[in-house]
Amino acid sequence: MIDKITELLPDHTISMSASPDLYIVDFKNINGGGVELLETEPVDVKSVYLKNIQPIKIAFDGFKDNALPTDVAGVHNKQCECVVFPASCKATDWILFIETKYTNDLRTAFDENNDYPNYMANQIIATVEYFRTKNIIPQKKRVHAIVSFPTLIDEFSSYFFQGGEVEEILQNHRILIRATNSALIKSEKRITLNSI
Amino acid sequence: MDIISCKSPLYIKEMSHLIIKNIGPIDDVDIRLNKINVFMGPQSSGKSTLTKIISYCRWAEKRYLLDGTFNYEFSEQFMNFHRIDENYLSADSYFKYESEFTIISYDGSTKQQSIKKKQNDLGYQKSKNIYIPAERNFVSVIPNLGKYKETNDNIMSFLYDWYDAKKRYSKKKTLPILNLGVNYYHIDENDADILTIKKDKDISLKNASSGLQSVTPLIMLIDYLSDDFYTEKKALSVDESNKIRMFIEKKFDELTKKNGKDIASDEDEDALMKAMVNRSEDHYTNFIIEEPEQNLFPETQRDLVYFLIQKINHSERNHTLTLTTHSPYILYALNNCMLGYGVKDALDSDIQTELLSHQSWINPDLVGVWEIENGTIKSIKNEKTGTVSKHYFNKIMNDVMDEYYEMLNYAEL
Repeated sequence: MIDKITELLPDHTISMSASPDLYIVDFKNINGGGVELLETEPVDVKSVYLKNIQPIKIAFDGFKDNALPTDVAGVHNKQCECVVFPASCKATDWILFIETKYTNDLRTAFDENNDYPNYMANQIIATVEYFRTKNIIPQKKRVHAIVSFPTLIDEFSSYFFQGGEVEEILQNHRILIRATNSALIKSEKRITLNSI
Repeated sequence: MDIISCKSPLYIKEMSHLIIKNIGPIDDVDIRLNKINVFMGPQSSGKSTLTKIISYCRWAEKRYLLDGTFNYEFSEQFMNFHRIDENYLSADSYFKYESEFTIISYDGSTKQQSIKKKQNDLGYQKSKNIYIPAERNFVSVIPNLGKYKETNDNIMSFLYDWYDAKKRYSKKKTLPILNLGVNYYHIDENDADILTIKKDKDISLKNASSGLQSVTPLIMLIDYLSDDFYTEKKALSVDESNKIRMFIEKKFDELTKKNGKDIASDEDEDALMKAMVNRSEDHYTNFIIEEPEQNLFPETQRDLVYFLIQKINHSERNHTLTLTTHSPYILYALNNCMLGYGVKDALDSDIQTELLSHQSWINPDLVGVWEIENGTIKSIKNEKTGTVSKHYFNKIMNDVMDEYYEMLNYAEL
């Protein structure tokens, strides 16, 4: 998978880490930076936390703006924030896509006009489809995804998808999606989207 | 003393201070009780132990202030009455309950209890205390319970109250059970408990669903002890009258001695008259209910909470309510009652009446909600919103959902 990304998306930079604690922060709306993988918990910035219990070596691709070019010049695919996967790159390894939104109030998060549950899920679905179309990941590979409001998620994550969307997305797109702020990496084969 | 306005002209907020250390599952509890108190927590976390101590202290305070002495055995009136296992107490055990009128404590190192009066006992109002145990269903299913009145514990005490209450309901004056379309009445001749279902179909309570068997005694006692109980004239025994007379005489002597005169001032006379009334009749009810949600569908749990809060809060009397629960639905419903109070001014009256909770809205300042876990207690109210923290509900939900997501990994949809 690393080779495929490097070959097809040469602008992408893949970071590696075997830290037992991994923190993913989107600095875009904080200081204009990009999506970063950190090994120590950032101060004053909320993050998505991955607990790497063994730990295993993982690969991280944080997407910059317009990171997924299409065949049409100047047109880019919808995208989420990043993808994380074991550096071993075996067919049985898990793959995790992450979409975050930094907002400080529940009103914004649940505003029907924003339609964040669908919007965020669609960002994930589009990214996964892009990776499948480009054969970066196999067509039938089931992947994991997190939608996260790092500043709010503890308050309402269990209510975010309420209408059977999780099962529909799993069935239609082979993506196991959860609104959460964390995951537990158990091995190359196993990752649990949990509520730690 | 905080004075908060609600439906009653003035509500004197009960802020009794309770400290418990090393009793049963409880390691350390330090809280101030409120008008409504809700204790949430896993099984065997100490919720009932805590409410039994509250119940005991309120009872001991009442006996001490009305009788002038307190010569009851702790082991009999606390341990046996509330069925507390002796292993729950050790040399490290301790509790202290401090109300407006008394300080009651127990020290495990000496196995002694202590009750002290505070200076202002003239203002004490007699209250009715009721403990509605989790085992309440038995009154619904076992016939002719009257003949079993032979032990002295909280279940039998509840039984006495149940018998007292049910006589007030007859075919002419039935008791609606929430909005379930079911009405209760009692037939005195054969001590029969009847439920009318679908307007004209009668069934015996002992043959009703477990939910009705659980909720009927609860609804009845709340309905009766929050309202009709106070309209009935109750004769004082000679002993009770004597105790009140002796108390008033003693206070009269104290007041006249203080003033250096043989007669009381008008103001003192008023206070003494008021004290006599305060001690002659019950003024409000302290309800303690274990697991009101028992056997009830979530919507019925919600309606039960609305009923309870409406009866307690929208009364001219200063009733209090203390609950133990395992059910998040109880907390969801309570949250609606508290949030409704907070937003009511922003709602048009027609929108208000559309909301099922609108008769039950309550100032969050009158409500304490705690979680007991691993021997300690913490408030689960959000300080900013005054309601139960969504984080708490989320935690409960996610604890269950974690396993679902784990298994979804393997589901073929």
